[in-house]
Amino acid sequence: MGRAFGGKSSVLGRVWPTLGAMGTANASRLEQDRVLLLARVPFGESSLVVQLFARDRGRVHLIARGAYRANSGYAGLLDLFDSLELSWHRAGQAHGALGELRAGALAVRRKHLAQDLASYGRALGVLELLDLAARVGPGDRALFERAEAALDELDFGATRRLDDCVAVDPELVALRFDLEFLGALGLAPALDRCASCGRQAPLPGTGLARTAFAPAAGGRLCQRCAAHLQSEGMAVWDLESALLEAAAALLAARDREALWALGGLPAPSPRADSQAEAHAGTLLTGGPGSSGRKAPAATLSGPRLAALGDWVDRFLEHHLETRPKSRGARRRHAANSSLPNAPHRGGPPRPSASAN
Amino acid sequence: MAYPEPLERLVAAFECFPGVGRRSAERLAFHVLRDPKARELARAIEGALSNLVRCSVCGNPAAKDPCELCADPERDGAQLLVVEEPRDVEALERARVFRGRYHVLLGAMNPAQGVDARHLALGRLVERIRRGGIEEVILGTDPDQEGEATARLVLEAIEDARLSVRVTRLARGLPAGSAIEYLHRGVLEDALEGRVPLRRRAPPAGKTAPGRDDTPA
Repeated sequence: MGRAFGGKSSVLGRVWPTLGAMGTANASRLEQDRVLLLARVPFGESSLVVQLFARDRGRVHLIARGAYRANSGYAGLLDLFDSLELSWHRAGQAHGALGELRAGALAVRRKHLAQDLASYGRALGVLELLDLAARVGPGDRALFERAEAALDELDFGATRRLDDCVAVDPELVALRFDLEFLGALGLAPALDRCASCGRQAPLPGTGLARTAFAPAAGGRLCQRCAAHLQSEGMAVWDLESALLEAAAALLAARDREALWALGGLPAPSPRADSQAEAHAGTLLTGGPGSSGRKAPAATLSGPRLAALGDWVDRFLEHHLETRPKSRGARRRHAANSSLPNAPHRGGPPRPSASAN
Repeated sequence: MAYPEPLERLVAAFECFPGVGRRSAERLAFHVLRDPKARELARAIEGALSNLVRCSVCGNPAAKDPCELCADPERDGAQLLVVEEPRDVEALERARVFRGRYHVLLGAMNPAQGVDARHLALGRLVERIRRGGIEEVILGTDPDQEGEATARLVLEAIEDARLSVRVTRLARGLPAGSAIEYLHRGVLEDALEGRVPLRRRAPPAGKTAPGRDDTPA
């Protein structure tokens, strides 16, 4: 009998070929997916109840019987940050019913994350956002893949730092994921157009240093809309235009080389994403063909990165209507750090004074 | 119909426990009402809450301060095993594999669940090492990502305090009693990375090593 599930590329299909020989009745209840672990709770003497974000099935709750036994197939498998390929019996129709884990294999292991506490904190932040967004039902493949990419990048950076090599700031990776997460939820901030009337905002480099921004309206505002919305009582922030341009550049930096260049570091491999480079160069310097992306002023680090983090945090909190716990810890850490010229993080936004 | 107020309070109290939802809490509450031993449970909870203290040395719950483990002069004070929870001390003591002393951190680092460095008994650990007498700190946090991050945090706290003490980590790898064919990639990877050399017995003086020369012609 052939395999009941799992393609040739499936890790589970390779590691657990005998599952293909299971009875038809059981096989019809079997589901398989690639997952990230969101949370786990010990259950009974040796079992675990796990919450997962599955690539194609959204939020899944499973019981892993005997997961803590030394001879269990799941011993040590169900850990944070790793990409797993799991197979489980579907839950019944009752609300909150648990599926039952039947087999599992490790697809990608990210074991260096916990060795670098900055990367570890940001990786927890990625999972926390997934936990807030995950719903039972169809999954979000694009969001899952961006989460995996963020975890890969954080793990790569942690590995390099363990080897005493330079690596991109994990905050930069986390912020890129935050912006991608907002986009996946349909909440991406308007960065180059007025969120209210849709008119194009002034191009970067045209002289206006500050921009009106309203999270409730969905992003950047033109002068007229900012005045109108503020008169109706909407909170309008006054931001540096460069922050929004930096956010756009960060979103455009889809691959490692572009991200590292934005962090002001030499790329760790020769391959470069010319499209992202051109886009970032345009946004940061005001025109294509410019080599400004590699100029120190165009890089995202230090106080500039902290200010961007503060803005993205506040925008996320506004739309999620909660402050993710891992962000609270990050803010406390930032507040306690003695970085010179570090901007105030977590305070209320300044009142609007100008607009584009 | 809503439950009477005392019953509703009991259900709500059970619901506060980890892993207990509304329905399980209701089942437990009705079990308490039916079971004649329920008063004994109430007395046990009251007794534990009033009579237990945290050991000021290791952080473990104890009937007196310092706890029996910290007060025992037979234990090796040069070795300090750092664990996440009091349950870990109990497991190690049950196994009778360690005769040194313990330090309980009271949690594992996971900022997403509201536990970060300030919630762990790190300052007390550093002070304890600074007082002297400890030669080796064994990091015995769980072998998962939270445990590894917690171990890293402890290591950095010790290094930042410039304490001259040997820091070791419990080994990871093959679980005894298991079989290689059932283990997943992560366990096998750890086992290979953490492999240890086996001692080759040196031949006694005046004797050649067994080999071709020993083979009868």
